[in-house]
Amino acid sequence: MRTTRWTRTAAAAAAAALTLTACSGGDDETGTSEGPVELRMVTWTPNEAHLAILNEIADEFVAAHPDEVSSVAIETTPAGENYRTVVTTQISGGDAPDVGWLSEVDALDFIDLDGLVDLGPTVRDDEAYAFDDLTPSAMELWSDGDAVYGIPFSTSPAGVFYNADMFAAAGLPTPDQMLADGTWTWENLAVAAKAISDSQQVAGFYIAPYLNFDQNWQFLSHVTYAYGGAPWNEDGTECTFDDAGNVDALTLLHDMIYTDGSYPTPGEVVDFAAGNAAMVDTFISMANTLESAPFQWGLVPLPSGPETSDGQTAVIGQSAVVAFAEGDHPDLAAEFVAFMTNEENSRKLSEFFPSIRTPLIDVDTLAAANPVLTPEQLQSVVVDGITHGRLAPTHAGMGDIQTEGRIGLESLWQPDADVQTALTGVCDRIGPLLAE
Amino acid sequence: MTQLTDVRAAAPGGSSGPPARKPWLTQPRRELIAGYLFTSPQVIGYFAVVVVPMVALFWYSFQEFSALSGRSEFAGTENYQRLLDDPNLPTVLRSTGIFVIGLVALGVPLALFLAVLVNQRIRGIRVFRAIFFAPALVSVAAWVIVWQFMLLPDGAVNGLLRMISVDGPNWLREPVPAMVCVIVVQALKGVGINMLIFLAALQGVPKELTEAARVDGAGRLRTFRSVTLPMISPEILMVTILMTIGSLKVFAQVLLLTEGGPGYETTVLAYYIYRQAFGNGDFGYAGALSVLLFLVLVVLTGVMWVARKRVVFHESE
Amino acid sequence: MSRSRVLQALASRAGLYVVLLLASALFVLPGLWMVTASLNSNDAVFSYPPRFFPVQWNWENYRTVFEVQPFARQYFNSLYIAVLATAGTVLVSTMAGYALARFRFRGRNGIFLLLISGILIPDEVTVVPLYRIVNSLGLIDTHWPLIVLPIFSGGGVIATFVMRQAFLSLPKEMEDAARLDGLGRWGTYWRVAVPLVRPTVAVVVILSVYNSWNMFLEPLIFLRTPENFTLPLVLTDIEDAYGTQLWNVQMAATTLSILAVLVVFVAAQRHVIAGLTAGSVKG
Repeated sequence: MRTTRWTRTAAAAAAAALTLTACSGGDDETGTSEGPVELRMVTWTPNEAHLAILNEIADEFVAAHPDEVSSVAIETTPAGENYRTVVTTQISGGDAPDVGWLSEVDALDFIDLDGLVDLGPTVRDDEAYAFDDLTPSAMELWSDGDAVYGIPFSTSPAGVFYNADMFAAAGLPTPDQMLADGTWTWENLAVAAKAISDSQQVAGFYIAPYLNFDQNWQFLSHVTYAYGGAPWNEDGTECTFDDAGNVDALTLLHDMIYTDGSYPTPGEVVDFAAGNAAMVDTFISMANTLESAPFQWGLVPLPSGPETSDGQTAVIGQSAVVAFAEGDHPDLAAEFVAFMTNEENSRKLSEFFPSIRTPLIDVDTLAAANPVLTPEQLQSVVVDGITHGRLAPTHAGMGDIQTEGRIGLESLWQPDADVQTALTGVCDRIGPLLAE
Repeated sequence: MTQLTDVRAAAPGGSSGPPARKPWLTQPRRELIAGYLFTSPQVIGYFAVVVVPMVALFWYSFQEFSALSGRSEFAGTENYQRLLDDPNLPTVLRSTGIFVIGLVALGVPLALFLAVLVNQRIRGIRVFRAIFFAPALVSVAAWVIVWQFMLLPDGAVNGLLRMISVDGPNWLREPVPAMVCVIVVQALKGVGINMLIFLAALQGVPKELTEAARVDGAGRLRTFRSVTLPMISPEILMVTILMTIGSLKVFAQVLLLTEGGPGYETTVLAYYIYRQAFGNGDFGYAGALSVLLFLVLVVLTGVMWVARKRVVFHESE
Repeated sequence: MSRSRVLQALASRAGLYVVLLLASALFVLPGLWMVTASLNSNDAVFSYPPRFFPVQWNWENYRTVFEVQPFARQYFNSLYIAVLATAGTVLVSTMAGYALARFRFRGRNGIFLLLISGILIPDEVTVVPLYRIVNSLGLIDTHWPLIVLPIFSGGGVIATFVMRQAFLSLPKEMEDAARLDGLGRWGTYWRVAVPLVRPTVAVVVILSVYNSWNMFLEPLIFLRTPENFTLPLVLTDIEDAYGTQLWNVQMAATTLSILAVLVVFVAAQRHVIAGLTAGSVKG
């Protein structure tokens, strides 16, 4: 072969180049740093108002630590799945960011693999930080014993928005009235949804983050929690998707879709803001799109169910600020996370993101981020939600679990599905992944 | 610009006849030097941005690689073992095969058909060319979002079908329709490019040839089949190869349109790799899958390359 | 006789228009929906049944595009990156393609096979090693990788392959004559051979612009500040300060992103098609 020698040379050159790139990662830059360093923070907001606040906080941090930090670069990527792609590439490319945002879905993956810095020593001992102000229930996902892996900067409760005009036209008591009467349950929501969709040819109700029946089935927990159902047991080792609570809750939803016709079928698109649904279960930021809605609307907490305890039905969504363990300056990164989430800076961020600091969980502060909501709505949905809310289920390896769960649930969302059988099928799919 | 002067210096093509001054600079040597100089930009750049990552990828495939912590350790052939044990892989490979065959079988004839259409000299033809080409300029995300909406059970597509009394399926939720959608949406996006390539080829077919055939009494279709088609066969082969390779790399469209569902019905290999790499942070297994994809592509390309001699009407060498 | 001929010609022309119109429906409907959505208020974007003609005229959506993002800057980024990447691709691929087609030298087949194998690697798995390389060169958050990578990887290799085929099917006589006339190898390549394959160069230009214009993963990985973003990054996600996705503004941005290029295409089409066919060497 004439090309043999040539190819061999090429392969050798490639191997040499590979070792070069493989070893020139960030690890060798750690150790005692001489002079001030640069920190990097990754975010998923391209919004200039958000970036302005983050940069302001970063500048103040640099001013407060002139000998240690020369600058903090706030970086941005387009949102969604892309953010994880970017962070993953940077970390495995040997260029891990120091600080970043992390959503609840990705939290356990990172914690499991020791990908996050324990902020505990930094935030617990510092009295000025007032760690005890952070609402304990909202810290659950991010702490493990004394270890703290992230500080939530945005905690958003879900609630039910309703179209008051449609309730009036149907002559039904509004969810607000049902709430006052103590009859605001999922059963009664289903009854109202059917009555309105029958008489007004609109959708009665839908869960907005699960409208597409896609990977985001963890939001079914808005219903199943009220029936004592969760996809897996407390320590996440065993699938419980087919237990009685889940069966009851999902039978209710299945009936709404296929018997009552009051919930959109898979693939149907409705939009509460456009006036073609009577009720929607979604996060409170939806309120801002309703500012100019051509109808009267209201907002109430999620309904209760047979297993709701103490009347607390709230489910929350969270994103936290974290320090990445692979970053070059873990100690400074932890300090920056603490600085960004201290009371003063949390107040600044609360213009857009609901904080979990008790002094900031009040109607006046929250009104800034949610100018459209009334004080009553802020109190019952937002304040109570942040204080008592549970997170939607999440698990290490959530990506695969979401996919397998979606596929398992495809057999549930059929007109003649047997709920129990379908849910057992879901457990067959995600059970092995939980055990891993 | 330095290499340009080098080339001239190394290969002075002066009219002064055969060079007599340096005996070692023989004609083959000159060709060799010129050959390396001409190919060096491509080859050097290629080493830096393709070969090195390729070798790294191969190396990953023998690692247990956790992308979230950035750590890895040697895992032997474990990732390749997983290829055999992965219960989803057969479905993924089948979906990939259907997707590639479907896309090429739809895309190439469609591009050719459109090229023939817009090869007519009639008023407004430039607008039609632009219309067919436009999707190539639309971002994938926007193109998919629009189609997603049109393919809803009560969307525009089923609305149109209802006008001719056909009850359309729930396009993106049922296995076969979902695959059809993924193929069609992808085909429409890129068809303009191939249309232009075919259009150029068609315009290069000498008029005398087709006219002669017509004079000999051949019908339009006959003329097209026995005169035009052989003339543009090199372009058809090129487009077919490019589309095959391109289709095996499609993943963003699938991610946005169906998330690979229902089941694993539209999970093509490239999307599956993407999910392993970034969804699960498992670059090791993604690496092993990529090596598999690479081998599939090598075989396919080889087959097409060998087959070209039978298909292509004229190619020197 | 001639009258029926005329009628027949008219009928076939009308038929042609009907076919053209039907075919373009598949391409036009999404466009109409997009333009309509771009002029709607945000909550009316997904109104049902879908509308294909605007009833609202919220032109301010187009102004908002420039307010939520440095959109003009991003537009410019995409344009100049496409131009430079394409120019580089044409130069590098014609050089390499010419050498592979015309010069006989040791290692030629090896180079060719090596190059071809490179287009068979999916990008999404090579981004991590690529990231290491770009990072070690200090080129993160610059446009260099977006300009240089396409020249040498997938798209560039395909271009080389396409150019090689074009040079192969070129009759050798013209170049031989040029050599006899005293042109060096470079001169023969640049002044004689390349002009003869102009149609194929036009194909390479189109493929290269298409790739660059639609590039998503690379800018996602390599860029970090909105001022440096390219259009595909921007078009996926436009939100207001409260995280509400502004579909209408996003569609307005998409419309703008297509419009300018489409205008250029329609205007330059004569030249593109001319370039594609000029000096055709077939037959």
